[in-house]
Amino acid sequence: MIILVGGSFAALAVKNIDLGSFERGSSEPLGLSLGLDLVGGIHLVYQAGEDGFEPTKDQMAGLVDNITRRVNKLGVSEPSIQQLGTNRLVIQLPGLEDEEAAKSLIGSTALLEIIERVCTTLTCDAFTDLPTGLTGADMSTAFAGTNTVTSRPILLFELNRGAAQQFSQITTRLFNTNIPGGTPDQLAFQMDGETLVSAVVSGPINSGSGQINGNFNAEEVRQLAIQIESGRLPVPITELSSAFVAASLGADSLDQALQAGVIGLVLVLLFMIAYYRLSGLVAAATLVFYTAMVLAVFKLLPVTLTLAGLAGFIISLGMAVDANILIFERMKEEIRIGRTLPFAVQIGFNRAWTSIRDGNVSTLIIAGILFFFGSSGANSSVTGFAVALTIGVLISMFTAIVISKKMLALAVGTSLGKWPRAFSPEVYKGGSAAERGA
Amino acid sequence: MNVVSIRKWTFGISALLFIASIVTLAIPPALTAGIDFSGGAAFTMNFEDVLDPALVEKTLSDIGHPESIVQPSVEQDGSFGTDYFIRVGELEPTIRDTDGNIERDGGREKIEASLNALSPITVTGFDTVTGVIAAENVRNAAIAVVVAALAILVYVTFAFRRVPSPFRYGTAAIVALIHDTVIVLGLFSILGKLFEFEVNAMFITGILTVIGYSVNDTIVVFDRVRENIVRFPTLTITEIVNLSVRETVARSLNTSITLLIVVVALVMFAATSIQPLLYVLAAGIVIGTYSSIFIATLLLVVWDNGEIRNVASKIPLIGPKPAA
Repeated sequence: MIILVGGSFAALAVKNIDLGSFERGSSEPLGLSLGLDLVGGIHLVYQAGEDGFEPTKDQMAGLVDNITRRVNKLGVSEPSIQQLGTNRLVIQLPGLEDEEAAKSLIGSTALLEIIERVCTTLTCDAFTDLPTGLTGADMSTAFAGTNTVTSRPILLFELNRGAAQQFSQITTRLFNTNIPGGTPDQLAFQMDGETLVSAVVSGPINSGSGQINGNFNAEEVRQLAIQIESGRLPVPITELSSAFVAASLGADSLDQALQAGVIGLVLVLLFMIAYYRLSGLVAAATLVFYTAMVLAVFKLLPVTLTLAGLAGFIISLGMAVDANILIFERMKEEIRIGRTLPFAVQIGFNRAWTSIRDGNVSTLIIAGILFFFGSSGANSSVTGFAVALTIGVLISMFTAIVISKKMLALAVGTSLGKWPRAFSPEVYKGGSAAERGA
Repeated sequence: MNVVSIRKWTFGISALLFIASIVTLAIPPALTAGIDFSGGAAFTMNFEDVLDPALVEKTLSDIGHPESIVQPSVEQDGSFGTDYFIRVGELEPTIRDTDGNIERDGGREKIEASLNALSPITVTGFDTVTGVIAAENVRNAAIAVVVAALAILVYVTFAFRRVPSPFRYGTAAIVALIHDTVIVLGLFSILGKLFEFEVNAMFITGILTVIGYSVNDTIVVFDRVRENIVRFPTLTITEIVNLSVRETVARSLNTSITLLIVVVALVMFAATSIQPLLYVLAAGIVIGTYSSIFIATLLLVVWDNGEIRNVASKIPLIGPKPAA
């Protein structure tokens, strides 16, 4: 317990953590990663197509959609991607550190095509390429997988519903003309004319989803999937400008929110101490540990904190306070009916546990479902909220039940334990519970 | 304290608020969509001097654009630059006569003139921008909430399996959850219609928080009901509920007060940009605390007394059910 709490403070005290491959930290307060809304990030403007090209509304929407998915897939928290005017995009990504990394997330601007390769030799050393008319815009996804039989890495891909039929016709035709002993024709993915991968069609693909088996290793397949994904843009894009911009919530919002948060927390702790006395003091200490532990986990995972994440954290903090209040109210009741202090502490924790458990489990269920659904959308403040809430609730169950209890038991064990009044706003006034309840 | 005796009042008030909320939500626009959803206009401009971005924000707010998102560029050393990317809500097109003189300003000229007064500006870009949040995201969030509600129903029913009719506890928790969500949405729908209160991305976060709080708070009261039912098997449900509410009211109020302390501290000291979120939280805490006691818990009583069927039979559409 001491190691965990101490470790949390240590993790927060050191701004940049670097243990070989484990690098965490940033220049932000406590080395936490913060979102676009709180600290700002890189601001990129892209143009769709060449000068004078007028993309359709659907093309632009497709572009926004594709880039959003790509950025989300790479785990960037709550980017901002908007169409600017008729043919430009403005993309903001959180963090102020690495410009090149940010740009590479947006991906290459190349055009992906699926082509038919008519081979003239058995090993396909000589061939003629024919366009199929299918491009990256017809792809819905590409990702790395494993062949269930051979356990070798394979590339899986899916086409959009509209393109599946055309793909089915092409693969059926190629499969039927590939006679044994002949020169088997292939399909290939080409990026700007450069072949990424080509393969013999081993059967008609009617469902719109296929796989490529080959002599790849896992890393090659992953790279291939990323390349194909980035070629899915319906229109090529070129970068117009890039700059670093300040927080979207206003430049001082972080400082102010932090200040306000600290003031709020201090007020809550004072209220707890005033009402529950020594027990409240124990709770106050626990909550400080709690905050340190949650922030340390945010930093170590790392979780990019946005306003939505902070809201999730604050509600979990509220639940941590609530857990303490539940326990102390129970203790108060037990002391009131004349139980001794150590016994009241024991019973208070035990009785409060069921409601803490059910309340927290319900919240975890909500957070889990929000995460699951939220992650499929862009700008997902829902996901950020859910992640922070989950971490917060899990840690709050631990601090309330383990740390509070240990510390309270320690305090009661000292000579202070002779004064129940110091631990509870109400004490035993004589008489049995039944008499007073009447 | 006899909370059960005032159930007609609390159900009446809640029904009234609920129906009012549904009505206001049914009148389009249900909620006034802010710049995050509906998009607007974006300026790319350069100021001659280095300014405090808060001043730019305030200037825009003063001329009727409190929704604006003002982002200065950031230099290598972390200080603010003179380039600005400013997003505001939708503007009308500026109408000019044949000589190029302005006949009617759609808002752009006023914004540029006001900002120019701070420090001379060069506007390098003026465009429309789409919303940051796609309709798909809102739909996903809504689906998630519905699924979460069903999951809570299952969990609460499971957690209360040792008491009679555990299904009622799950249902009552969900009724309270729907009650809280709809009334908070209704409140902000009215605020949108009367005071042009705009809903932004933070609003979704706020609603999710309200939902989380509502369920948690309800379960604490239910937990006590569960315990008392086992401890005092001879008491009626009315007595059990009164006893349980009496025992948990201190905790309910203390928890709400501590949360409200934090929210009020934030309202007073935090940036104006997060105020809308705080209002949602404040409304949610108050309504969530109220509904745990007066809706969810009292629902257990009226259900057990068979009063739900009595009321339902008086509603013409549902009609008296044929005796089974």
